[in-house]
Amino acid sequence: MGRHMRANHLFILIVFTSMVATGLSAQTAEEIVQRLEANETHSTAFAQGRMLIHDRFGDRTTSFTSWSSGEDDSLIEFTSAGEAGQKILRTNDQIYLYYPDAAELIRLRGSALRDSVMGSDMSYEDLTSGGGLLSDYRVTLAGTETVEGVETFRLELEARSRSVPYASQTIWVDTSRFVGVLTHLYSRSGDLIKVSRALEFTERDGRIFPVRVRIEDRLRRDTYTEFVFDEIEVSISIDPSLFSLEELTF
Amino acid sequence: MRLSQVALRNISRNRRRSLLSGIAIGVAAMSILLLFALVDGMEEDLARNLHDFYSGMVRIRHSDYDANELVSPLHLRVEDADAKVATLQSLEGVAGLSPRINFPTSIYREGETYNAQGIGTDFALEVGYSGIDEYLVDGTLPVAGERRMVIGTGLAAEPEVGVGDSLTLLSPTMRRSSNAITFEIAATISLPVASLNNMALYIPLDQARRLVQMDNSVTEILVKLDNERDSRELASSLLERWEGEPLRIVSWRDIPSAYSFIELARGVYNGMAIVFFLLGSTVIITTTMIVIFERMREIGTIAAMGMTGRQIIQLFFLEALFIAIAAAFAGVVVGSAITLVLQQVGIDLGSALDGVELEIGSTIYPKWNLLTTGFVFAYSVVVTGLASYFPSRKVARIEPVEALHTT
Repeated sequence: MGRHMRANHLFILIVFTSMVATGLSAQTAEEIVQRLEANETHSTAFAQGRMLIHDRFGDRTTSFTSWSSGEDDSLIEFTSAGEAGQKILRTNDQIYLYYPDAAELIRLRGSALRDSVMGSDMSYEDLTSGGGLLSDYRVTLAGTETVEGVETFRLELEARSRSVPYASQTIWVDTSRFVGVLTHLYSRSGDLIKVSRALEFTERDGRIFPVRVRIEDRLRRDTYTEFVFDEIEVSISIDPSLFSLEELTF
Repeated sequence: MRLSQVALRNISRNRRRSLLSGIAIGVAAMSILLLFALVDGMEEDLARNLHDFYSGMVRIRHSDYDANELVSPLHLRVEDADAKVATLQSLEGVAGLSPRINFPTSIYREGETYNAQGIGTDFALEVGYSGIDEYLVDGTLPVAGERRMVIGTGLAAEPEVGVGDSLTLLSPTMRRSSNAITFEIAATISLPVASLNNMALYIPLDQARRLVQMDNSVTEILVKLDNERDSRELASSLLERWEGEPLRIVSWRDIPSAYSFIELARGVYNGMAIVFFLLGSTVIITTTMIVIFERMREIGTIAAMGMTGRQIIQLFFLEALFIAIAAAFAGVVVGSAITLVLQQVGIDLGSALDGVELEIGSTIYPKWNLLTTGFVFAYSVVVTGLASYFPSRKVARIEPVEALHTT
């Protein structure tokens, strides 16, 4: 998943958010992106949710609890019976996997980052953090479009370097709330790889949160994953050691 | 004097010519014998490897597993496996069986990952089934309940691990999620198939079930029989016995594999054998033709003395035939000697088969066979005999007077 999508809809859903951007009048692509990213930034966040994974063999649900601090540190602990106790830690731009029966932490590198997270449509690579959309991509505003009844800005993003997982993105951003409604992620050959849709939002304390997001990996046949957030808390107190390797294996 | 004696005398009169013809036939016979022995050895090796490591003689899987095998559908499993194993063990004619969980896995060690093919198996049954203990290089086989593994020497080479080292296996689960468990290496094995030796690791069945979070199930049960020819019959009877369960039970002969290519190759090699002998026969034909022209005066003389055209044809045909018999005999004797030696020491294909997805072993042992040897001998004689008959017929058309005037 692209950096923007990560920030919007995926693992970062633990830090996701969206503020109602009433009264704002972003005019340039850069300003729209800045508004979008500003909405997604929280000092800390806690969430409980579920991954509803659909593939050609059927549906299954994986539940999790997650914590995050800033843009760099986050931890997911899976709570469903089949995965109970398994954790994914992102810190210092590295991904670590903890399994209760494994004697060592698994640090993902190289092609292993492209593996699916728990068989979902999200890859570990989607969890890695970047320097932000504006530093990774050249952004242009391609106009406004109505997407599923929502007036949106259509942003075209082209990668500045080959170090990002997706060569280009198209993001449709709600013109009034500055939340990502739809994201298309493309490979270097121009093929559409992933699609992310925010299906439901909820409003709390004046903030708008996407609470149901569907991701489709177009390289797989007949699959999609819905992330559903049942509980969200932001700006809470989290002990920084929660994101340490020592704590992960404790 | 009998024609055969005259023929033998003529052969010895021109030893160089006879030897040249004989060598051509002998080399062809020897080559074909070696080729057939090699094919026999490959066929036997392939069948043994398929039975031991891939398909068994009868394979039991979930009915939808094969169609989805590329995505390792662990949930498409053979349920109630222990009871099925007990049932199979009670059947007459069953020589061995191996319940297995095949799972793709990534080996994780010190920050590096290596792809592998995991096999969860009941080692107590596996020893009797594939004789896995015979391939041990170092260590001992694990037993149920132990978090220990057996790893192919080729696979162990890359992370440079050996007995006593630990490896973490990261694998998909039956729920299509993931799980990881750390295992200690109990033994290294040198499996006969290069691709298997470079990719396979074995863990106890109960630990495989824990790793992939599977219940009392397996992905397949492989069955060996006292008589391989009963495999289709057993597959049918098992399907009837477990009717209603989503199972696909098939004889190994109905599973696509390289074995069918070997059978095809055998047909091709039979054709090649004819070409070999025809090539060898061209020497016979050529030398016979030369001899006819060289011995024109002699032909005229014996014809003038009363030998009929038919007898002259027989004479030349017999000369060629005797050379063919002697040469073919020598060829199969030398070929047999070479085959018998190679049958013991084998032909090590070594790294040539690395990365080759064939179930053929790295060392091929050609197989000497009396029937094949007899066939090659007879084949050589018949083909070369027939080939020499046609130039011999030319002799009958030679007029004695004309022949006697030839200088």
